[in-house]
Amino acid sequence: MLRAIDEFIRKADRVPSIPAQVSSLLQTMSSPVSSVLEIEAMIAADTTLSARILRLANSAFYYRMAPVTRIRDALTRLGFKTTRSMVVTVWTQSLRAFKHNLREAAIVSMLLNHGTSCAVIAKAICEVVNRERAEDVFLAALLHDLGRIVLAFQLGDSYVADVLFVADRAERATCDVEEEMLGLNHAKLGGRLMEAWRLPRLFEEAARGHHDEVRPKDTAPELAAVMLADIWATELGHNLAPHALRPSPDGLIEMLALPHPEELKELCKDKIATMMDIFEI
Amino acid sequence: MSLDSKSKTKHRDSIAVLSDVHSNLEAFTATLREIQKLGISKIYSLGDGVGYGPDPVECTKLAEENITVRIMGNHEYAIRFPDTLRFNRDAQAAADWTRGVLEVAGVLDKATELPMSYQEGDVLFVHGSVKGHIMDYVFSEDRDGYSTFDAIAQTLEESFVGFRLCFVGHNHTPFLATEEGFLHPHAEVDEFYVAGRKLYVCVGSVGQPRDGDNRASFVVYNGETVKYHRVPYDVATTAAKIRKNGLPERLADRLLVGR
Repeated sequence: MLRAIDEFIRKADRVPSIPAQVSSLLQTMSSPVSSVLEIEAMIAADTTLSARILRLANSAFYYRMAPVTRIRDALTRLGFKTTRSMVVTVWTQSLRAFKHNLREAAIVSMLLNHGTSCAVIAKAICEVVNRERAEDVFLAALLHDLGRIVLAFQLGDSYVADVLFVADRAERATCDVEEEMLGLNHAKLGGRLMEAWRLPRLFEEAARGHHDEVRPKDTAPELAAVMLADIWATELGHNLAPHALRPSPDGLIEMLALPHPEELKELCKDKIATMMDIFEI
Repeated sequence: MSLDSKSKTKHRDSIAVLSDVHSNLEAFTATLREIQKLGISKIYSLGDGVGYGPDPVECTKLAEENITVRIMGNHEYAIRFPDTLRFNRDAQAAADWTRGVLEVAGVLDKATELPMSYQEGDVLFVHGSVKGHIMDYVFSEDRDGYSTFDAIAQTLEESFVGFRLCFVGHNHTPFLATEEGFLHPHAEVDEFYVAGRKLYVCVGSVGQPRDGDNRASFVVYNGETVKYHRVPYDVATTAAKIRKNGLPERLADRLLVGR
């Protein structure tokens, strides 16, 4: 499985984003009145861009510098020109990837939206249970399904038809179907990707462990927040294969001791809608 | 911000790598002075020592005295082999003027008789790129504004054979082109760890920077890190000399803004 995972990782540098969203960011970056905060917020809503920016800022080229876990710190390290170059690269790759393939664009777009929705929800949960880690958990949730995006981008429609739809119709766990069909699963791929890209440990754990069984004694609250966000985002309609087998949210809610989960979920629904409006998704 | 590279074992003596002096005596002199202050004696020049600027003879003599390794750029080629390359009007006018001045001073061969590449261990030095040593450019974006990342990543993977680092000039812009992205130095971070990696090191230009910063640019490589340096110089004097010698006005104007 490791060899198959490494082959996917080798090509992960070309994972696209939503072209219109990246174009909007480029326009903001070109404006003399745009602020770093605006640029940071737009990057932090995009799984692909966030992953690439964080990867570059944590790369060996910046040897002996402390690991960067937040977008604003990554932007400070990289500087404006390097950041802009990365945005132009992702924009170019996104345009080329989807030029003649609107169906794949829709699939990748849906998966990216799932990441954004999860990030919003996980942050909202973390603001209740551990406010200090809310920013880190936001990014961990944003990137938790990067492995699935890599698979969807590299395998195209066959990933959706042979894996996601099969899992959805049979109400089975997607990781199990992936292992049967591909010999690897997106969680392990995502975890390995985070490790190879030297991204923070929490991101690696969220990517690798977001489908794991919940063990109250072993599961960290940050990971639990991502796991619950994954379930809620799916329940709110932001996921492919909505009927695939997922654990019940009850154990996670209990473990996190969330006082008013339904109210929080409704609040998240509004927050996601607001974010989608900003980016006209 | 500099890396703490002192605690790492150095694989080689530091070298300074510069390019595109373009007959700019003030920038060249200031740069050589800065390199001397750093205690570095080996200086490699990636071509285009002449062309555009007002002091080709003085710059040629200074290069002969101070530069350890010199290679050919497209301006030396165009001056040595007239009518073989297509230049824009300003560049052609400057090349014709420079050829005449070098001939009169008897230093045409000294200025232009140069090798097209030089390799030392796992490091290649060329003016343009691996694909075209003299004329090809390493750019982060193409003319239409699209990123060149995928093409460069492919070149790094497939064409960097027998060497892993390639120092280039020609594009007049300081940055690294790597398998992970383009890295531009800035005020807070100007040093990058490059050991064991395949990449282009674009050193920028001494005599005609085009990245919006009019200071001369060069790098220091110690076998592990590449550190970018910027050196202020008397731009106004060089611009005035360009005008005085009747060279195209635009060549003076662009020096002031570094574009």
